[in-house]
Amino acid sequence: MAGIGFELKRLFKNKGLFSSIRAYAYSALVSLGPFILCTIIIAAILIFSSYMNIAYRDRELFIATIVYAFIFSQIISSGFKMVITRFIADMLYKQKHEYILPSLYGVLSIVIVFAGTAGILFYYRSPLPFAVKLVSYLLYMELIIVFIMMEYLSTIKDYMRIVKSFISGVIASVCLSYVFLKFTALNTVFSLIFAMNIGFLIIIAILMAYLRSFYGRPARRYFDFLIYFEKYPSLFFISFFYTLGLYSHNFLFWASRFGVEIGGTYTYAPTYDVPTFYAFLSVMPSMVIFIVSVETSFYEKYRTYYSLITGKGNFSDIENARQDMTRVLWSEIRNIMELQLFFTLVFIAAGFYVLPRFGLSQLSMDIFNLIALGAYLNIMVMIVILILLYFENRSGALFVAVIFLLSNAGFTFMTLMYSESIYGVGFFASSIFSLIIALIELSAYLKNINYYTFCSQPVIYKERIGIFGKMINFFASRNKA
Amino acid sequence: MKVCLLVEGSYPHVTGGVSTWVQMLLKNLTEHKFIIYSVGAEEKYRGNFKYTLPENVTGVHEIFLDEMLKGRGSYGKRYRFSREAAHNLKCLITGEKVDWDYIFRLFVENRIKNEMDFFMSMNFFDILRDAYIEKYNSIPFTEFFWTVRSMLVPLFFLLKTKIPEADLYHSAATGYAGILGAMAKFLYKKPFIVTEHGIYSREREEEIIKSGWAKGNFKDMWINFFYNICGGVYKYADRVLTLFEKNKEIEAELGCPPEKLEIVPNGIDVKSFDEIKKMQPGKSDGYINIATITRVVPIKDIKTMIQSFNHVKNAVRNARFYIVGPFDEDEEYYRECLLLIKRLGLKDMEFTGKADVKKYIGGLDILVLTSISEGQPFVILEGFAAKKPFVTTDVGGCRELLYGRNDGFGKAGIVVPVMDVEKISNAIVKLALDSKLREKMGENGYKRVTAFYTSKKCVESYRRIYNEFAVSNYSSRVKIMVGQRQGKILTVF
Repeated sequence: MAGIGFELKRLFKNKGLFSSIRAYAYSALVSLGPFILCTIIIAAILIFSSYMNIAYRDRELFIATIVYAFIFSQIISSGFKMVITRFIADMLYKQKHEYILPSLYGVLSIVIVFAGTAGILFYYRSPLPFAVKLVSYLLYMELIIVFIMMEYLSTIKDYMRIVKSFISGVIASVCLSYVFLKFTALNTVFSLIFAMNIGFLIIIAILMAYLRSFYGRPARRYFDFLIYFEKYPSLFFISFFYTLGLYSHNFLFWASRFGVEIGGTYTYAPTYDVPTFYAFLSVMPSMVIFIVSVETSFYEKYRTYYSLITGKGNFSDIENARQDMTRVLWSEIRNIMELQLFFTLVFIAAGFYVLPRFGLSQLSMDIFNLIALGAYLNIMVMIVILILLYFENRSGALFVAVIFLLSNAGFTFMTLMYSESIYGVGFFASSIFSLIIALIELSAYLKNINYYTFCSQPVIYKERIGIFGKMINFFASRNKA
Repeated sequence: MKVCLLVEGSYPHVTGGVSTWVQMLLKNLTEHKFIIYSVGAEEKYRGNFKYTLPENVTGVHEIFLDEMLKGRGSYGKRYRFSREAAHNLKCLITGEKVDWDYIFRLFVENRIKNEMDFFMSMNFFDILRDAYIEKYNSIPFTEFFWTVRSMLVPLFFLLKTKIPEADLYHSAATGYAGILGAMAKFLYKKPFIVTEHGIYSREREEEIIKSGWAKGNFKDMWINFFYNICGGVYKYADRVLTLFEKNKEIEAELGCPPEKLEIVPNGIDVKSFDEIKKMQPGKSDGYINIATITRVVPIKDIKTMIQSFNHVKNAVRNARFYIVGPFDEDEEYYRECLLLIKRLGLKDMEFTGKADVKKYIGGLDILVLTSISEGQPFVILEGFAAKKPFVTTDVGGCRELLYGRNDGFGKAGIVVPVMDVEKISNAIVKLALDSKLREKMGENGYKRVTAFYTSKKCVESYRRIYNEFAVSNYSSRVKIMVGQRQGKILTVF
């Protein structure tokens, strides 16, 4: 009976704490990839559409198609991505590399069923020509595949290869759309999206070949990752709620009098969406700065702290390491906030001169300024969520994500009820509110982290086996027989 | 009167001295109703009773320690504990004297509803950290954390359980069963007595010192923890009953107030041996039959016995040896014993396995006991009833049984030091070569057991003690006690 405690300690020691830490950050970083990619493609098409005599209506439809595909593929894949990130990190830590690639097939098959059903329901009621609907649908599905694949690529950290594949895809898309428009009589929107289909197919093919060569021969365990949905259900919701929160203010504007319907299919609010898009470009530096600071000073302190706990550290060593780690963490957060504030102000200043030339109205410019400031605070919310996840404080992270989703929807709704003069304030206020909550949560957690690290461990360790786990064990045993 | 009998690791799931004693009390004290509150180790023994429950047993509450493995908790709680409660919880860890009132109150007032929540609470971490800083600052904190948790979990698991209401609580040990009795007294304000067959804290101490699972500094922590429990039991008990003089002295030394101590020896039904003692073995087949009646386990030191037998065989050619008792409890030890016999080339040596003592005992000439630790062995009383002389090691109550406490009956055998092969074999040889001495000693033992160690006497003692604490006699005392308690409560808040 006394032996129980010692058994527990061993389990505690084996926990792959260090492995998952950086995975979340890299995952966030590579998510920027498809975002930049879509932006570049839209920009490229827009540039040559002026040379190719593309009708305004077609151009609108094309952009709306991409925006919808991008937004909804991101929202739908977000929850899966976070769980799969954790799964991959743990498999890498456990040296079970052969389990990684099969999980990609497994997760794709599930997400594609979910997303595919949603997509079919969406396009079913659309009056667009069937061919256009088909390629639009394919684009959306391809983006989902790319988003999920990025999680697997983030572990390899060979960013040049990702960039090269993207460049190949973009070049193929642009060239093909030129060829289609110039030499064929195909529908314009169909041609442009079909060209993108092929471009993304190339990207997926290149990356998939790379993943296959990297992870080698896979085990035939496609659905083992499902156990992680039972183990860490909150990861799914943290990412899903945060991503949904990011777009919730846009959705509300779509439903307002600013909503514009395109092709009887898509509704969006250019007055609000376009400044939002530009504003969010401003926060990219934060992600990079954050990765760098996690990699360097913070990670060192973090490792010292946890290795004292898993090793033979006495309490004063642990407490000193905690203070050290806390100090470094706060100073890193302050650094990022200072640097990002600088970038944000530069962006706002640049926007003041540049954006009106892109045809932004005065109302949109006001919205841009507010959203840029909001995005500045919001990216900090996301960083704090990631930090909370480093410390395994999933409930805290989930709390912050829920607060953000609800407050953004709530405040934006209130501004819509009130008056034009405060559009954008909803998002800004929600971001500042969520950031305050997030920082309070982080500070309280860090203060008691010794307690949480120890006492959140169950007194009696039990591996929880849920329905997925049971199913997987059942099939595994049948395969053996 | 309704008596709640609290037992630990014995009745009704495990046979042995304590269980025999329990069955004897239950069978004979028919004027009282009994509720058995039994703490066992493994749940698989639930309902698996080794004894037929007498009719005056109205219920059996079985609690198994491995049930606590099912427990689940959630973290993040902060209880509203008084400073004294926190202080006494800390003392449980540091090994300082604990005032159990404060610990019991946490459970009685339902503050700790789920002990797992407590072990995941902020209060627990603060208390543990303070204890660490105060006393254990140099040892790895993580190890300390898990050790403290696993040390306290069984205790809290038991204190959380609901103890049935009764008019008198009687624990058969001072450990977990004892502290439960103490809490019952605190909760129901009913009298509480404890019978200590061995010295619980001493036994745990020996076990922990030898054990592999507790290391270095943690051994002291565990040992002090059990002393704290037993100290609490002595404090709460209205009467502490012990089997023989030596244990009474130890208990007083361990802090039990002497006025609470009383000796009530074990007893057996001497008459049931009437037929057996008439048998005259030795003479019938020309052999001297020497035996031990015991389980084959290390604490009985069977190896030393085998080596002694080997010496005896060299001096007494017609000696024959029996080890009567089950050997399936520790099969590895049994195999080692067989190997030893083979290596020594010892002849005329037999393991009988589990057997009916009464069948064997008549045909024996000398009984031997080489245990490292004993309470007051029933087998000696039985041997006396069959007029057999003994050679036993000087442990527990053996010396008192063999030599008496100036009762004028004379020696009933020879007491030898533990593990001393030479002295043990010399004593056996002396008896083997002197049939007069055997007869004399057997006679002395018979007189002693008839005078002091009959089950009738034992039962009468408990009847008297129970009656002392019967409802009417006890109530006047209760009032005074409650008053004191209220006085304490006032100073707390």
